Amino acid sequence: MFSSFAEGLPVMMWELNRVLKRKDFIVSVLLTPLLALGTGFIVGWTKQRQENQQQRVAVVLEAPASPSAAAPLPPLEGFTWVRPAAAEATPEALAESIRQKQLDGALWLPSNYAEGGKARLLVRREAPGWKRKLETHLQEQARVARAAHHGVTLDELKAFDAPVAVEEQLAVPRERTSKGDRIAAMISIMLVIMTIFITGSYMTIGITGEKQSRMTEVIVSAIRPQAWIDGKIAAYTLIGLLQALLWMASGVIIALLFARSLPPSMNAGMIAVFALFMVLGLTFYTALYALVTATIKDLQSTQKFQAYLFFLPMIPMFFLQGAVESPDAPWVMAISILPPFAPMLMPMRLAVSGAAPWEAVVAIAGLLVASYLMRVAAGHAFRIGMLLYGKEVSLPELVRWSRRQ
Amino acid sequence: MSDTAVLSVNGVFKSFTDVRAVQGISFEVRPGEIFGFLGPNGAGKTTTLRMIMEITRPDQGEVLFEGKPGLDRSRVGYLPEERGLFEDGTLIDTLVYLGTLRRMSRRDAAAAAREWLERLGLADRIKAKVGTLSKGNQQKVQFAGAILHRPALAVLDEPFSGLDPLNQELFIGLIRELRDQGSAMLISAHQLNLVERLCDRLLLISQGRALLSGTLAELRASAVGGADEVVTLELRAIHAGQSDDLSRLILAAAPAAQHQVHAEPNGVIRVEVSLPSRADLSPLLAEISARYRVERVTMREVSLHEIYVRAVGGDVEDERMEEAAHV
Repeated sequence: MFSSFAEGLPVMMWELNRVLKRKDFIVSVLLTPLLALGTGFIVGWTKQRQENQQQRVAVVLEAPASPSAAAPLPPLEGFTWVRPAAAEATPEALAESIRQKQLDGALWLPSNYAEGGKARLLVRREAPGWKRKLETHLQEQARVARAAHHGVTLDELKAFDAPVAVEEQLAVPRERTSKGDRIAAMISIMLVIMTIFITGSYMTIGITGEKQSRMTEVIVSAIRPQAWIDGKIAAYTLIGLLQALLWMASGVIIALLFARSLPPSMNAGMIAVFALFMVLGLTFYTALYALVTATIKDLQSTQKFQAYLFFLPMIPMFFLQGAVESPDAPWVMAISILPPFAPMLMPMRLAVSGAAPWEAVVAIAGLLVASYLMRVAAGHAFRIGMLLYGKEVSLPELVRWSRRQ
Repeated sequence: MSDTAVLSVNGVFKSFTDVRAVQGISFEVRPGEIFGFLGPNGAGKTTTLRMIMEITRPDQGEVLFEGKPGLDRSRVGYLPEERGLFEDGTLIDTLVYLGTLRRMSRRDAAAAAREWLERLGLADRIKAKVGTLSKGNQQKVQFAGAILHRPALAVLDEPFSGLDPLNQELFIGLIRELRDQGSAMLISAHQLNLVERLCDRLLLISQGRALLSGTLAELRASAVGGADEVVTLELRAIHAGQSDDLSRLILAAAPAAQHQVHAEPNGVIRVEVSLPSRADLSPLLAEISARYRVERVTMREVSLHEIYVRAVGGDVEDERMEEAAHV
């Protein structure tokens, strides 16, 4: 096996050189984190700006007086209540002020709003972001007014609302169960899936391009098909790893910039485990993609089973949330050991649950065996399939080729 | 020329589903030799070459490289019939890649690539993308990729296709040079005039079987009954309305000769005769001169083209007869 990888070294260098110089690859790998950083910055900045921005809202108190009439609106952070003079409190005048951006809104507040009287809000745009905060404030005022109407003091009301004390005790270490960990786990699964899929796509484009350019016969005369495929597997595994690490680094930077801390599970040990599963997953899937691509003309035109095999790494997306929420459920345990899904699910389980070390060992062993077998099968199929131009094979043919020496 | 064959093909067979592509072909190619591997389309040439290159495996028989099974890919060059290049790669990058695949260091491959591109008149396009080259120039790059590492054995399948006459001559010169430096060259081509000039020995196959093999002189002997010369006679009848049976006359004068008669509209009768021996020419001419006015006699060697047409044509005819007999 090692001699085969050594023989495939020029292929690896060639593929690395070709892919790393591709504009679309540079854009997707380097620009995506920059975009994510930029988007995160813009979202954070916008949110911050919204939080700091004062909303000027005219409040027009309306009759009739009510026995449970709420007091005029108390101050609310982020809002400035404007009391217009009677002459300016007409809908037309206030609408004009809103249009001129002198006001952000106007609220007609009936004195019986705590008893079901309908308040009206005049705004510049439908459903402004601050509306919910205003509604919550009004609801709170109405609640206090209703309580007072029934002779309940503010202190009594607070006593009614006192939360029930529930002490949470954790069965696994605290650092693995935070919300941040779960978000990080979900992002890591997406990262593995995207990396495998994008890397596999580049490999597919490369192989079908070689078939279409009629280069294959020249290459298999110079190098054994197994060495050729090994060179490709090594190259695309490195490319995928580079891509994943870059994206992960940018994720860490974003987390540090905006959340100002990292989830507890994001430590050097977990990153090493993640990288190991990523390498094994990339090896398994690049070998699978090579095996399948050797048997088709191109991905766009294939109508056969091969197209479905390309989407195999996407399957965990369908049960991603359930798996992250219940990482120790028996079904999650079972599929996290299966080689096609272990690269996505086992690191997640190690991060957020009490997955036993033996489970990780079994998953790694399974991935090693499956990757080796897939690599050998790809080498066999490559020898035959890469010389077929314009013909696609059936599943039984593919299985037969994979086993042929 | 060393006695040890670089390549020995021993009784190889290959079938695909219901087609027997190669049926027991054997030959050897020695160092410093240009070996022509000829045959009509579908004869099994490419399948045989692919078995030599270990791209496919023979069902039966063996292929030996320098007397041993197993091809040393680093010492073999291959220009396949189905060929292409990475269109978005530069000339130098592509050739260096092909060189490193053959176990050359990057440095040596780059030096060799520059040298060959210079010799092939592509030095000024070294950084150009392959896709920007003409078909002929791409062919030159493919050729350079096959012989960049000075292989012990170069297998060239249709090296002249798509080349203009000047570049054909350039390739002939380079192939001869490689041969003179000790490389064994195995060439399959349909340009028989070029093959005839270039090859030291030949093998002609048809329908997966060997028909003729040897030097050109040996092929002539096998294909045209030992005749190595074709005599062309231009005749006119002496008397109007003369209708002697020329064929009968020729057969009577030179029974071993093969001949063809063409009557032209201007009254000239052109007769092409392949004679086993030049000694047969005088009695034949005497016999014909008695009845016809001989206007011109020309003599030339039997061409490879004629050998090919006769051998392959005869083989195809035999096959048809055999099929008819089975029906």
